[in-house]
Amino acid sequence: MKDLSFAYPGNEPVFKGFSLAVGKGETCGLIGANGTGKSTLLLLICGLLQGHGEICLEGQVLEKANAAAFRRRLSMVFQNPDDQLFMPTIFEDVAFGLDQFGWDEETVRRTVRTSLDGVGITVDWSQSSQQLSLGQKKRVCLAAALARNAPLMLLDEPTNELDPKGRRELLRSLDDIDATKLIVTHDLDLVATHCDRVCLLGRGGMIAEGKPTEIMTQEALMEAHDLEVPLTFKMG
Amino acid sequence: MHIPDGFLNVPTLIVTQTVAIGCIGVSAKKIQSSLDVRRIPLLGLGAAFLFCLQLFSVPVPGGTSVHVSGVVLLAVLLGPHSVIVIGACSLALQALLFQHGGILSFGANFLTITLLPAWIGSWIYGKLNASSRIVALSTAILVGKILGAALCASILAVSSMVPFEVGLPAMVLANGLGAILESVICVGLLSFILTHRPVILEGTRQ
Amino acid sequence: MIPLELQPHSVASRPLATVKSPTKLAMALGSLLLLAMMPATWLPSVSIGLGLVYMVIVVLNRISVLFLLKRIVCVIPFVLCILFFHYKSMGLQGSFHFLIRSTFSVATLVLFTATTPFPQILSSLKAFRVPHLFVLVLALAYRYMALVQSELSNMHRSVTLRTSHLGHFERWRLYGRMMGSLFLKAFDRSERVHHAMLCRGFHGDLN
Repeated sequence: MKDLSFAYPGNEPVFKGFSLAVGKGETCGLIGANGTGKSTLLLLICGLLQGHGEICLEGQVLEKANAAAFRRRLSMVFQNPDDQLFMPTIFEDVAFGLDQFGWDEETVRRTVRTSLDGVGITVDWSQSSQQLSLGQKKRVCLAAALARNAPLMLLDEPTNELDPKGRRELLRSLDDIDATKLIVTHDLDLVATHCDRVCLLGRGGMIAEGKPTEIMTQEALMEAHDLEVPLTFKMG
Repeated sequence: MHIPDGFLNVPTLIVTQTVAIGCIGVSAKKIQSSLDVRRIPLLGLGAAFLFCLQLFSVPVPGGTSVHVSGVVLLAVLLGPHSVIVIGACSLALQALLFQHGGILSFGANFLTITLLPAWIGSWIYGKLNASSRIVALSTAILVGKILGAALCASILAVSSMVPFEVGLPAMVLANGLGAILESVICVGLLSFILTHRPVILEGTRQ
Repeated sequence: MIPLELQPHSVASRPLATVKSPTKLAMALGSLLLLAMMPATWLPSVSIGLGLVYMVIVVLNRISVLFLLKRIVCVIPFVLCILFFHYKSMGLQGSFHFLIRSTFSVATLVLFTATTPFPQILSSLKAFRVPHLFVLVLALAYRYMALVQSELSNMHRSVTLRTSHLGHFERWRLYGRMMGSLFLKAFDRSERVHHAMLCRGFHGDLN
C-alpha cells in the first residue's frame, strides 16, 4: 500500500498518505484504538471501498476495472461469521465461489474436505452452519477462505467474542496456514505471539511499525493510543 | 387470508398457479437482467424480514391479535418487482414450515396477498406521495388490502367454497380494519427509515 | 413470541430422506392433485389407501404424531367455516369428503417437509426449473429468518417491558418504529453479506 488516503463521505479523512509493505508469507497484525480505520483498510484492500493511492498485490495494482480479478487473489474473513455463512449447508458455504476457478465437482469436494479438515471441523457438512458454535462458525469461515488458496488472507477480529477454547482452536488453525496474513485485532496477545510484524494505527494513519517485541513493549506509546502492553510481554 | 390446500377446485388452481408463476418469472427475470449483485442479499434479507413481520402478532382491542402483510410498504421501499420475489419467498416459507397456505393454493394466495397489493399499492403511492407520504402510504395499503380481499372472496366464490355475497363483505371488512392497523405500523416504520436512513428510499427501488 | 417451530431436527437421518427430493416433491404434488380431483366415489379407497401410506411414513420416519395433529388442527376452523355455508348442499358425505380432502392435504405437506431437509427442498425446486434467483433468495431468507426473528424478539421484549402503560394506538406506532429498526438491521446485514459475496468472487451470474 502506497500513499493511501480515504475518507467516508462527509467525514474527516480516515487515512492520509498511509503506506505499508508486507512481505510474502509474513503475518502482520494491525492494532489501534476504535475508529482508527483498521477494518476500513481491509475493505480498501478488497476493493470494496475506493480511496486514493496505490494498492499492489504481487505486482498487480488494484484498479476499479480489475477489482474482481484482484479479489480472486485474496481471501477475507469478516468479523461476524453470520455475514459470510449464508448458504443452506456448510459444504455450500465453503464451496461458494469456487466454481469461478472452473474446477469439476470432484475437485471442489476434495478441496472442501481438505479445508474443513485443516481447521478441525468434523461435523456433517450437509447441515446448516446455523447450529454451530461461534468458534466453529469462525473456523468454517476460515475453511472457506482457505479453500480459495489465495496468497493473501485478510482477517477482521478473528478471536472476537471467542471463549478461551475457541480462541485456542482458531489460533491453532491459523498457524497451519502459510499464506501472507493481515490481521486486524484488539487481541494484543494474539499479535504478540503469532505475528511477525505489527502496525499501530492512530488517527490519520500509521503511528509505528515493526516487530511486536519492539513496538508493543513501549508502554508509553501503547497507552498514548488507548492500548496497553500485552500480557505476554508483561510477564516476560 | 391464507387459503390452505384442499379448498380450491382444479380449474381455479390451474389459473391462479399459472398467473402467479408467470408473474414471479417476469419479476425474477427483470431483476436478474440488471445483474446487480447487491440486490440478491437485499432480497434475501428482505424476505427474512417480511417473513418475521408477517408472523408478528399485533394485539388489538378485543383480546385477539392480527397480522400485518407489509407488502405495500416493501413495494414502496424496494420496488414492486423486488417485493414480488420477496413476497413469494415469504409465502413459500410459510407454506412449507407452518402449512400456512398450501403448495397448490400458493398461486391464489400469492395473487391476493402479494401481487395485487404490490402493484396497486405501488401505483397509488406513486401518484399521491408528492403531497403527503402518510396519506399516500395509508391509502395505498387500504386499497391494496381491500382489493386483495375482494380477489380472495372471488377466488373462494369461483371454487364454490364461500358465496360471494357473504365472502366479499366479510373479507373486505376484516381487511379494511386490518389495513388501519397496518397503516399505523407501516407509517411508523417508514418514518423511522426516513429519519435515520432516507438514502434507502432513493437507491433501492426496482 | 413468534412460535418459530422450524423443521423437526435430524430430518436427514430418516429413511425417507434418502429418496431423491424431486421425486418426493412430485409425489407430494401428485397426492395433492389427487385429493383435489377425486370424485366422491373414490373417497373410501383414497382415504384408506393414503391413510395407510401416511401412517407407514409417520412410523418409519419417527415423525411426531402430536406435531402432525397440531398442524392438521390449524386447518379445522377454515373447514368448519366452509361447512357452515355448504352443509345443506354438501350433505353428510360431501362434508366428509371435504374434511378428508383438507386434512389429508395438510398432512401431505407436513410429511413432505418433515422428511426433506430444507437444502433438499431447494434442490428439488431447482429440478422443477424454478428460477435460480428465487431459489437463492429463498435459501438466504431461510438462513437469516432465525437471526432476524431473534433480533425482533429482543426488541419486542425490551419494548414490552417498558411500555405496559401505553394504549393500542401508541403501541402500534412503537411497533412500527421497532420494525423500522429491524428493517435497517436487515438492510445493513445485506450490505455485509454483499461484501462477503464479492470477496468470494460472486458477480451475479446465476447460470
